[in-house]
Amino acid sequence: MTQGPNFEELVGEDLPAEEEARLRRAHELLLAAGPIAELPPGLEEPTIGEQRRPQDENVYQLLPRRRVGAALALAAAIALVAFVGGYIVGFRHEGFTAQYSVPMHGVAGVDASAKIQIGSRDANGNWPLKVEARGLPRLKTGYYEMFLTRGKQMFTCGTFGGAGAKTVKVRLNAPYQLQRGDGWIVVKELPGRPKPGPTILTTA
Amino acid sequence: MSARKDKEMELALDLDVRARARNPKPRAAPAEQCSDGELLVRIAGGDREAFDILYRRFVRPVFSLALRRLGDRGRAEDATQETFTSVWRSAGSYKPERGPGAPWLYAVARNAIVDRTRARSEPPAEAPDAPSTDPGPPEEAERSWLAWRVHRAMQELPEHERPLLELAYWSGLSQSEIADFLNIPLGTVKTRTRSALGRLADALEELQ
Repeated sequence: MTQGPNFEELVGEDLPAEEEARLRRAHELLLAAGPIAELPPGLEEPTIGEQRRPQDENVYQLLPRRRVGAALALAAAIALVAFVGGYIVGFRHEGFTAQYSVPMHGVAGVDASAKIQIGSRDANGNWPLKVEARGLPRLKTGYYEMFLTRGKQMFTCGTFGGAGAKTVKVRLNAPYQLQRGDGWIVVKELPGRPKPGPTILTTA
Repeated sequence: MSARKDKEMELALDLDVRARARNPKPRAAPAEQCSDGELLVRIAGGDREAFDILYRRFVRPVFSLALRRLGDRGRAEDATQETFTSVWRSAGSYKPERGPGAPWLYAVARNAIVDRTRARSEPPAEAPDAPSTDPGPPEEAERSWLAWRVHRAMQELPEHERPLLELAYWSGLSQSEIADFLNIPLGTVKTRTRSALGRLADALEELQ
């Protein structure tokens, strides 16, 4: 039998028999179905069928066609210079040199996001992390914990608190050999719960 | 003479307006209210808005199905993209008289997933020592179809109700933990949970 929430606790005990049977059926189907997956960022919006948008037929031509390519090339060059400059300026300070960064997004209706900057591996095999999170729900109790995920395995990389509308910046550490395909999650840890709490941020 | 002609013209215009008022052109229902099958018919005619709505209804069920079958997020994402590309291209092959849209879309998703399974190059499996206790293909197919219907129905729930069921059933939180997590009163959690279960029951009955 699948573990799940107690039906009577969820709906109370004051329901007419017919309504209770109807809700119980939905409850049992939910248990049998199992969880629905969180979408990866690439699937948040439909990306197909763009070429058939009717409004595309009425786009004004602002530049002669022969100049569009040159303008795009110039814009790309400016963007590249700005990106490389920002990368160097942003990543080389406070003694932390980021090798690459990974974006995270909120799950289950949480309007939060984060960026993990992963530094150079030190002599002891640790990967320093710099996490910058925005919009994390304010905690009355508990704290946040970051995990490295690999398949069904989870490895803790440290905990932090202090969240709200402001940006939270923390230094954490991943004492594991990072691999291609690794993911990261931030969960909310509740006092007294032996297992990790609900996921708040994910890279998936 | 000229004045009479003008009068006749006015009368003709007036009659035309009245005739149109009596027999207005049937207006299409808003796409949000369309059934899955109606959306597919619209998509076959190149309706981008209908496609967007169908996508939002089904993208999580399709991705969940693919993830369950393929066990890999990257390949599941590819299979999901492929499913919706097929829907956009082949919606014309959907025949409303043969049944609702959800089973048709389920078949399209299943085909895309099977294609991904075949594309995987696996090393030859070693013979197991004991018979597997995993569910066989018929049980797995039945479970996938059930999950598909439930996940599809979940997408119909309002944004303020869906997370409550997800947290209660799939994150293992108690109602007071959900109240704490979402920062809403416990009474609101109870009311919304009961309401969400009721809506889910309605949606599942419609999908039968």
